[in-house]
Amino acid sequence: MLFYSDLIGKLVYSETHAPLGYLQDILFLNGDTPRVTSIVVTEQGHHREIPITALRAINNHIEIKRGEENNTKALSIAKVLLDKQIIDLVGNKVVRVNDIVLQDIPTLSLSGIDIGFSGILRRIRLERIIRMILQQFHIDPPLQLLSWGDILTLELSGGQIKLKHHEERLAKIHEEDLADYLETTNVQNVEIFLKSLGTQQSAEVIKNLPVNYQVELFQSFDARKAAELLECIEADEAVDILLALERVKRDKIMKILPTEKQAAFHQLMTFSRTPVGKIMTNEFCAVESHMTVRNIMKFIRRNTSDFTSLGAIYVLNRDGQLVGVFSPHELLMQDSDTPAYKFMVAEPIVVLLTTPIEVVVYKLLKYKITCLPVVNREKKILGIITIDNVSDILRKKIL
Amino acid sequence: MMNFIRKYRRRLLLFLAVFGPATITAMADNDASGVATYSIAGATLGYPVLFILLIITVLLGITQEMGIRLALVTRKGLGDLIRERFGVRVSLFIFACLFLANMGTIIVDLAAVKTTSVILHIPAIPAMIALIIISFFFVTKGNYKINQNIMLVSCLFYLTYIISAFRANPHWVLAITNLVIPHGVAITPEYIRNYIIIGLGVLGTTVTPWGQFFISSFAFDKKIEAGRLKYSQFETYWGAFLTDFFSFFMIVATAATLYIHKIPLISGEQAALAIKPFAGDLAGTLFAIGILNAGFMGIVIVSLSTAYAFAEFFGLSGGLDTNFTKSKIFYIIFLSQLLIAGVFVLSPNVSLFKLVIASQALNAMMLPFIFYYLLKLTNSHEVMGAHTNSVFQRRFGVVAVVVISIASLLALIFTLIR
Repeated sequence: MLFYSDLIGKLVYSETHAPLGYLQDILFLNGDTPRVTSIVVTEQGHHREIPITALRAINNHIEIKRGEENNTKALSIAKVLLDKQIIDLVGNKVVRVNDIVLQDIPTLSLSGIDIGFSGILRRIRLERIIRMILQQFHIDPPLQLLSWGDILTLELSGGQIKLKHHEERLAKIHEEDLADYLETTNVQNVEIFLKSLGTQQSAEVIKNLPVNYQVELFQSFDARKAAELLECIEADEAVDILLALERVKRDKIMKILPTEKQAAFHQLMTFSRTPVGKIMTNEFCAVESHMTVRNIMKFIRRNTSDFTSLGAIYVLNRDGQLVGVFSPHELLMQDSDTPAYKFMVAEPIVVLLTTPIEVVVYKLLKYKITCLPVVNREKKILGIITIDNVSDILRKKIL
Repeated sequence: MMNFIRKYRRRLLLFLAVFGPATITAMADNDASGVATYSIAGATLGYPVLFILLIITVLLGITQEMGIRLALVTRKGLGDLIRERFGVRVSLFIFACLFLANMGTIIVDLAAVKTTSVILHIPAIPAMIALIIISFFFVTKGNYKINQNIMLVSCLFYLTYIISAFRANPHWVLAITNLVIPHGVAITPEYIRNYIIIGLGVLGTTVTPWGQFFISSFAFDKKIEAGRLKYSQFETYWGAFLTDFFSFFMIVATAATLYIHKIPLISGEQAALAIKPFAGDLAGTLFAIGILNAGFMGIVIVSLSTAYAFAEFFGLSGGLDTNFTKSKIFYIIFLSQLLIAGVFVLSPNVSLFKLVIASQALNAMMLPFIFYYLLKLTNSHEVMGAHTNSVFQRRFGVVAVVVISIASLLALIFTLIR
């Protein structure tokens, strides 16, 4: 998770490592996914807008490629968002914008607003020190974040930061909505966000997250916290998570759980189940995220001629990790020069080799999809399970 | 003829509709710490201190007018605008300045209540506790209209100062001429030193940092329309005149008695006690009642202004029209100041006399920072549109910032050298 205030004031370099000036502002396109369009760099009072497509790296410094076109219609974070008043649906003042949360997966965009005291501390560069001091006293101040999904983007163009709901409802966002929102961000983001929720609410949110998120989250929790959360989740979902974890971790968590829960979980885990690996197929099509529609079409024609069917096309990043999915229909609707990352659905639903087949079926039906990718812990696709693969099991259940 | 009357009546109604914020802010300038400062100034410096009072009145009128104009044109408070245009750092800094200065003023106000209640034979500690509780209910339970009326009615108590002044039999010619040019005293280095430090105190108690924040948020609370700008502007000048009209009599009352007879004040609030032999029991008692009332006004308004400013800087809902649960933090800040002041005043080891001038001089020292941002905002075409400052206002503001900064430095040097 990136914070606006951490980026502002950083030196921006060209490809040849010549300093261009300091980062002054970030411009974004208003909308449900507020993509960053350009950055404003200032050097000796002279401002310059550089489109985000020229951005090469954001690390300790920011590096850009040479000259590209400007973008109009973009809003400025400094002018429209930062320090401005947030009001609720009926116009009551709620709080001010203390900082902006950015995410860079799949593209650099705004994902939320920091409305907490941590945000103020970060702005005056004291957050780290004060957090360190507080941790000495075992106090971990929660981050207070507002998701972008809570803001009426239409109002923003009119200069108002208005929430979609009444002030009191802020803490009572529906857990499924929250999970939906969190799916579009990365796992560190989710972890930080969950800190601001209570155990019961965290559990509700986690339950609705994709499996790979669940696994990553539970790996990072200590056994006690993991057990507390699992107790709040329905047994079958809890078992799914447990089975996906490493054996050592799983055993540790099981020991802490109350005896009756242990027994229930144990029974579910030893349930006769068909291993996913046995029924999955490697007849799937995966493309890289930067490939254009034209190239993807070519790729499909060349590589999938022997397929029985093609329900979905998966999108991989440079490391070969699964980052998105789209249907053939979605593909046909695009211009031939559009790259895959622009229209894919990010963070698709996945299952693991250890997922019980009942859960696989459940997911296929719940999300009304025809195939599910099976991934390993590194998010690499191992194969897919289509509705055809599980039709036997379905028939047995129904008939 | 009828037309004329109708037109006139309409004007008067319009004026009365916006009547309030500026008068209340200006009158609250004469809170107990104000009374104490004016008394000390009159007693230590005599009539010549009246000279700066006239200049301060102009400064008060001009800066308050900027404040209300800013609020009515932008529909935002000073705190809102500082946060939005200058960011978190500046906001935190200005809020810290304001909080410090206000804490000083509230402590002095409460201390004055403590001292005067002794003079009036009311037990001091229960009186203070009662006052804190009353203030809290006044603000949390009362509604805007009632509160404003109570505030305006309690302004009537200031008439007591005029009575006190007349009973003190002052040298009116000397008093009036000193408004134009300071004269009639032996000018010694000691006198100049006192003049700068106490003069700064007089400035800080009349033109206050909190006054700048309060007037804009209060105007906003009252929901004055931008179209009524002219009437509100007139009211600010009227308020500035009114506040210093009463300050004038406070200074005259003590100058005519304590300064003439060379009686040093041990405590500002003891002015009430000290003028008795010269002005009679009634004047003394009236003075004491005036201070008690002024203490109440000061405590409520100054602590409210901190809470208002906090709500603006950090965007929380707050204000007299919202109920308790909704603006909890607003009221917590309001109450915690009263409690801190209470603890401070009850601890016996604090020299409250020194605190009076020190706290008001501190108020004055914060002014250049606040004026800087006030001027930046009201000079900005982007913020004010057609309502930017006139050339005179701009220049007067800049000169004021420079002069106050120099006086603050001098006062600091004098205090440290001693």
